[in-house]
Amino acid sequence: MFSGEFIDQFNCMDKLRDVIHTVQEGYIKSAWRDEGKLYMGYLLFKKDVFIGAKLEDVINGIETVGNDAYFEILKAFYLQKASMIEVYSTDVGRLLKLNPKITINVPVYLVQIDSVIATLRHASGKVIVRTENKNWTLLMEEGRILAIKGNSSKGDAALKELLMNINHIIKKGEITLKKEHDVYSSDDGRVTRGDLLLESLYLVRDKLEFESINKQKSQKISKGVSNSAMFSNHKKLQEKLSP
Amino acid sequence: MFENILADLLRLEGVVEVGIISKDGLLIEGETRDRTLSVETVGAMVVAVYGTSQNASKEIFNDERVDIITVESPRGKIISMEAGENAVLAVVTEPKVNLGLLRLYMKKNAQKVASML
Repeated sequence: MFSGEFIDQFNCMDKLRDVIHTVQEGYIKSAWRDEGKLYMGYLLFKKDVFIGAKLEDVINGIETVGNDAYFEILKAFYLQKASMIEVYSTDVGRLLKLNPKITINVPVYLVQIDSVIATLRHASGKVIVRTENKNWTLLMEEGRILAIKGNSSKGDAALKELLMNINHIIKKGEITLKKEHDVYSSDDGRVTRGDLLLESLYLVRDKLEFESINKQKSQKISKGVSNSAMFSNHKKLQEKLSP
Repeated sequence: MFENILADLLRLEGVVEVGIISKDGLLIEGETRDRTLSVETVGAMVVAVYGTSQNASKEIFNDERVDIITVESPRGKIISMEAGENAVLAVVTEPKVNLGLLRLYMKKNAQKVASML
């Protein structure tokens, strides 16, 4: 159990990013059932980035920490197994000093993409996406875009513009979910392929993850570690993220 | 919905079972480490004890409010407390358990249950 001041609890993933941004430093805690087991997951965060993770199989007393815990907790969030999330404020540096094994060493951009994917994967209603000088209003249903309007375009043209700015949105954009549905008339800003945004996010994630592993591989090869170990890790990461 | 509360209490050393039971004896949510214990049966017994305790408190103190009920036996303990107007939070433990810590966690989580129901 980590110490900390209880801030709030909520039951929908779309609030997660905003709450983490507001609290700035602390951890989220959530429990869920899976295949007859009861799990409690902790994700430590600082400045919008997850930096530590711990997962407990509460009944059997088994603990997982670090990257492995991070992927399992995110998977539970993606699959909406966790229904209630509690947020605590605490000195994360002190917690990591006391529990160094819980540190995540996944590259920061992967954590940011995971956060965006978790927010949008089951989004329904109006979604506002903003960068410094552009914004888009999306109408989504269970992660699929139904319609989109940008500053000066709509429909497929606005979606194309959004996708061209995807890296910037992941790093510095704001995504706000509202539960309103009656935003568009039937033909106004409709898109041809509503699954394109999430597909693109997964592709960007896979690319960055592969580059990260290759970078580690070239560093480790110089130290004499075999290729097969690195690619085996990549496959494990892929398996962990698939539903 | 109440997994956070169940996990928070079950992870304490010595805790065997946690249940959230409506005051008419129906199990709302529960979990156990000991599969020989039926969470529903324990829940029904706890609410029966809770109701009797309220009657005793009313007769003796002229006040039916009960803060916490602890049943101690050589085989373990059963602790229960009110979790809002409509529910009771109950924990079954092994004989050795840190009662002070457990009560603190139960009080905190009983308030959460009350706010969620």
